[in-house]
Amino acid sequence: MKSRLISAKLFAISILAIVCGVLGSSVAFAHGERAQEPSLRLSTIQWYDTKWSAQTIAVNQELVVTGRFHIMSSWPLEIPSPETLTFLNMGVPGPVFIRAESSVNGINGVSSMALKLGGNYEYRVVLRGRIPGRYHVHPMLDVLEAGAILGPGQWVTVTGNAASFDDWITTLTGKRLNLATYGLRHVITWHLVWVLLAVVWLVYWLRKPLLIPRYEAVQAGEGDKLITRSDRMMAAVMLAASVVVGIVALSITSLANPVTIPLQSHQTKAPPLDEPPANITVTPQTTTYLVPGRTVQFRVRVTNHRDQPITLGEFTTANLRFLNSAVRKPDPDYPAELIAPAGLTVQPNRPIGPGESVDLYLEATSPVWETDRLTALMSDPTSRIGGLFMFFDPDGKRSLVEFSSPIVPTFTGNPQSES
Amino acid sequence: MAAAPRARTQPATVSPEAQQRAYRHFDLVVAVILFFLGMALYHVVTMLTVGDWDFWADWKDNRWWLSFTPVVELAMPAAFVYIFWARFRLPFAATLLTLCLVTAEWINRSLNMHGWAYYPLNFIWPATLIPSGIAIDCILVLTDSLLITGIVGGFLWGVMFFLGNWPLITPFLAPVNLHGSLMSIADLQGFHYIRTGTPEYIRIINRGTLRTFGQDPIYLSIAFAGFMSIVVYMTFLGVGWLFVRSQFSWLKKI
Repeated sequence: MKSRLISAKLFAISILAIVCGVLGSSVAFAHGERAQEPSLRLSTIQWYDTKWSAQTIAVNQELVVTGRFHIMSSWPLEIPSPETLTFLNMGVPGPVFIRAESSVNGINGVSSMALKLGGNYEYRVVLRGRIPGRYHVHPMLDVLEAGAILGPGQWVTVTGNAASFDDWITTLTGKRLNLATYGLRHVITWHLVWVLLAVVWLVYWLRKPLLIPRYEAVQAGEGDKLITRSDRMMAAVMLAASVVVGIVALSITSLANPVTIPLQSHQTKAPPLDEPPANITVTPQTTTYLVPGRTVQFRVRVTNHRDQPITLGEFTTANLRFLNSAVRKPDPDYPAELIAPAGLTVQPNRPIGPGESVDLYLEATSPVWETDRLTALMSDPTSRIGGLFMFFDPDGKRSLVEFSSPIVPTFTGNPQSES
Repeated sequence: MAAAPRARTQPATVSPEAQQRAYRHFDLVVAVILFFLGMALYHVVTMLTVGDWDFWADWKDNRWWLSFTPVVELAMPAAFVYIFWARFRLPFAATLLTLCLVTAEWINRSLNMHGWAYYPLNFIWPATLIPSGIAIDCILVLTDSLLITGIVGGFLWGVMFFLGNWPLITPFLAPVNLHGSLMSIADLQGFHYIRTGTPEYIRIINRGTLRTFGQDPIYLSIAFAGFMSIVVYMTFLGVGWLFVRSQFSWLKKI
């Protein structure tokens, strides 16, 4: 009696837990980008200048995603390098868009390509709306044996009717066809022909007494008598019919499609953008993560080898942007959740003259270090932080400098603060 | 004190006709169970072994798809052929299983990959193994020999896969020019219909140097599929033999 009562209580608790779990859960809309390990987001590919041509499009309308990415020269040794093969992809929930075209540094994006460590690349992807809905759209780089590395995501709404989607192309033989539906009737027709043949063969056997009488006959040593002359005739007819149907199908489709090619596999090498060197050196001294303040604190020595003064305007890592408000204003089209409201604190916040070396103290404060799970790097085997510093000269010309440094957590006080 | 006499058990049937009806009902129940079991088992095996080659049109190449798919797909039918033949002299196991498979695949592609994930059906259609299944069953009836069926039927299994499926992919191999890159229609489908988890480089198509032989590896692929199917058929007949030898004692225990 007592055990029955305990069982009933356990059952009730289990049901309650399931109900609470279902009711309390929130719907997942994005791609789990926060679940990627921090070292993969902080130290591999830095995406910047990402732009989405619209935030609402209709079915069949184009959405153009453009931008640049930097492949870190300090790519972690434990992660397979993009110098083998990568593929520019899109992080979207399946084919709710079609990818009409894409390119990396002008090279057709149908190719998988080897990229250079330390290189900067410019990409362009043209999508077309297919299924109405609201989707998080990321550029994404698939790296062979490392997996997908997502760029920043923007919400884009597709409106209209999915049934109105079409995808017209012209083959090299001049045939114009709708890729959305092409060939389906052909495939289904031949599938049905084969299903019909299979059903004929099965019905032939299923109309006879099957299991028990035949089992008894086989056990009695009379199994050979179970296959009759008419069974053999039927088998001969079915075999001949199958071969004939196969040959006829092959002939018909070969005549209808005289020019065919094997499936193509495109793989190439993409050289980085040809850009002048930044002529700026950033030497990390100490980098700490202040856990109570959700702040990354940098001490770096910056040396300006150029003939113009420069000012530090931005630090970007893992798609997050920390802007020095004295130099850079937020881009209104960039996802607001990826721009740290507190910005980047720079001390001293003044131009660095030509030939000058200055020790800078920087603070990048944002709750996103926690909410984007980037501080989980404390449990990574590689506690490093990477990113891009963006310096600007008086003409507004930008220079990028890669940054990579070990990072140490501090759990009390504010040990690096200038104050 | 003498024990009370046991009550006589009522016979299950009272006449030969009623017995035959009971046998037919039993056949029907087993056939329905087998069909759904075959769909589930064979489909899982196919997804785990053939996987992407069967999912996407731009994986269905003239080398790996034609040689790999029939070879790995023969294992399960071969074992069932032995069981059905040795115990019941029934030569339809391969056809039944291949019909189960294609039914399960179309259900999966329509409801799952098209209905939920939005891939167009003309990009995700499955291959059919029915021609191969019919061939191997018919050869068994005609020769009455598992050995000859293994050699002739096994080889035909691979050849019939080509005859049944090459006509399906052919219209998707017409050439297209996409901004200076030559592609087939199937390649273009793979580019247009975004797969976040299947980048271009992951496709295993046309790898190797078989092109040395007359520019087209297709006939070598078919021959290879045929020879390997013989080996797989004979091997998995052995698995069927083990099941029969055990007299299904494992099933009785369950």
